[in-house]
Amino acid sequence: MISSKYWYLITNGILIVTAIYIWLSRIPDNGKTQVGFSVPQKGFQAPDIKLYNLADELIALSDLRGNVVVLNLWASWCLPCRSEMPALQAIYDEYIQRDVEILAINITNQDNLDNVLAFVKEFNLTFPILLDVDGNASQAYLLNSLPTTFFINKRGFISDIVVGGPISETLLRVQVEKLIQE
Amino acid sequence: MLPSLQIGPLSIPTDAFILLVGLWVGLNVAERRSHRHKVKREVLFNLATITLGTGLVGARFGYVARYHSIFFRNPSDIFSRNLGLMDPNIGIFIGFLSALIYVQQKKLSFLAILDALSPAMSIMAIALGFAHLASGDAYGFPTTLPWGISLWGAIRHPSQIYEIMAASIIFLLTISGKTLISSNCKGSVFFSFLAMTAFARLILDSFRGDSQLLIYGIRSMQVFSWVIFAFSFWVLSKLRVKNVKVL
Repeated sequence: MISSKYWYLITNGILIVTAIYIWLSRIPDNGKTQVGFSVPQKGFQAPDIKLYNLADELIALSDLRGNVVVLNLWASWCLPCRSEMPALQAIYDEYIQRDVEILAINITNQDNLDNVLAFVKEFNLTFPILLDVDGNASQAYLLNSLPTTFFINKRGFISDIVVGGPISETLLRVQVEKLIQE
Repeated sequence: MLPSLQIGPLSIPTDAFILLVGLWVGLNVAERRSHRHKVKREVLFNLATITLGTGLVGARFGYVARYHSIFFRNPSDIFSRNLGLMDPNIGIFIGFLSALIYVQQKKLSFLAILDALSPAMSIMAIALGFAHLASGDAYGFPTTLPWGISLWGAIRHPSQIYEIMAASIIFLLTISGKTLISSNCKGSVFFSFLAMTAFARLILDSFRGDSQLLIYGIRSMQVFSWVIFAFSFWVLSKLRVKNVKVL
């Protein structure tokens, strides 16, 4: 066993060296490492998408900058997607006047347009339903599971992701309130 | 990267699944080795059950308390399956507090329990690395090094692999009984594990690209790890001199 004198010398030495390491390994210029990348991950800029809605109007995510955006990827055959639609509609109705937008992207390349229309009618959905006909949006958002919901802040950065569902109305409301107050 | 496992209509978050497997394996290993620290297997099992149970309930109620006005509108969501409706910090605090009360009520040695649980914690640390690898979280800083991996739009340090490697080394040292002071002292296994883990985190965080920053670009997790590292050394110093119960 080493003597107390050497023990304190060694441990204090290690603590000083590691403290210096913390200073030397700091991020230069206080920079954020996520800036400049558009990827579907928390903290990064949300990838831009341009899709047609059911009224055949082109909608771009980047045009909604300044709004809180809830981006939900869904399909009519997906059971959790069905379960969470009333919650999304309730949030849309409540927050539409407060610069909150809901974009529900239907994975149309794995769905059927007639079923999509019937689905929208069944749930009386009034928020924009975008059609991902060629799968570009699901590819850009690395869709792995349905439904998936991205919460995007007013500056266009992803603040949270919920994979799977159904997402509860409370969780939607908490996330939206947080982003409004940001 | 595989963020979720799709089994029929069920979508299972891969990271949570890996952590559960890690917990199960870790507790099994810890129970098998508990006799070395004179701790009964049932004690570890009960402690883990109490900590997890109260931790989960605490995490949900912590979240409810924080957003009570929103929960008033949908009170049934208090029992929602959404894992997002949890406050992990409150959960950890409540779980730890419950464990502390259980240990005190049963008049057990807190240091011996911590030693017995160290293998489980080191396996959980490995599982955490794999969970990060599956979800793509805890990603690295952009690099030009040849072993960089393509992730989130850039070639980055494989920080999750570094994490798994460091945790594996710490696990091997922990189960082989290598401690920074005499392993006869109660608490030496746990505080050696804690010191090594804090040191590894302090070094590895410098390769991370998702660090929270304090001032002047200093990473907050490195500072936190340094404090834990210093605290571990302080406790180990006390243990090696006195070899008595300090907690």
